[in-house]
Amino acid sequence: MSILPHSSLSTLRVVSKSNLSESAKSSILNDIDMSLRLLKSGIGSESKKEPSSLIEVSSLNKAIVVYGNLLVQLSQLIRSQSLMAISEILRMDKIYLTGDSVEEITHKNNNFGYNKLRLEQITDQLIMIEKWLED
Amino acid sequence: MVGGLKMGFAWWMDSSEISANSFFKFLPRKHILNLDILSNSEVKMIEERILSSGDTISKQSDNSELFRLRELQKDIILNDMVLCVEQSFMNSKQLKIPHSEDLLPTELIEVAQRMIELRKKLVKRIGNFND
Repeated sequence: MSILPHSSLSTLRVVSKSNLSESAKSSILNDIDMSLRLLKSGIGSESKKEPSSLIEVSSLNKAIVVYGNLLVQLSQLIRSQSLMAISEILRMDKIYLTGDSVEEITHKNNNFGYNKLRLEQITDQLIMIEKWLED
Repeated sequence: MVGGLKMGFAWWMDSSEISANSFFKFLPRKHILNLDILSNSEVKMIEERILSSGDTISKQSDNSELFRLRELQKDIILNDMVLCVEQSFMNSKQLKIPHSEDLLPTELIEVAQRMIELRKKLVKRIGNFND
């Protein structure tokens, strides 16, 4: 399973590789490798804590504290998902330019399962605050 | 309430115009140079003070300060993402940064929008308790 919601995405400004000279293609491939290295260091700095258990929301004070926690968790998820998705697109662009095997590369950095669990937990906690506010 | 606290609370708490795109710093955009420094121990301290109030509504200054600090924390995390992406693409004129709307699953964007709605409701609730 790919981490990308839209599989036709590309970071390439050129529409087709058929218009590219070998040296232009090589230059873009170098740029892609450089970008991938920089993104990898960004992704690597993220802490992968075990998801915490859900907190019962029974007062405004608790709702405010839980909201703050959720906001930080959601921001970390957006950061992580964005960096991983861009890396995946860059790898796909590399495949397109080189003609390498797709399967060989797409299975290397697939963390969407992890992110999906995090999103589900954030959603469950969000529902708990929403429900408390409705009561 | 006409006190400075209430007014000070209101000017940055108005979320009627906030979109997920601006609040969660959707790409592409430029990173912000000088964000405030965050103290995690201060966040913990205020959280403990708020929670120790139990069901009694805690001081508005604590509530608004926790909101401010958590949103600063959000901004630092997302600004770091923007900087990382900016640096990854800055050396190439042949590559372009994709848009967050294309990078993030629909369900994640929906949760981001719900968080903003939740923020509005919480701000309103805090305001009602302090009128």
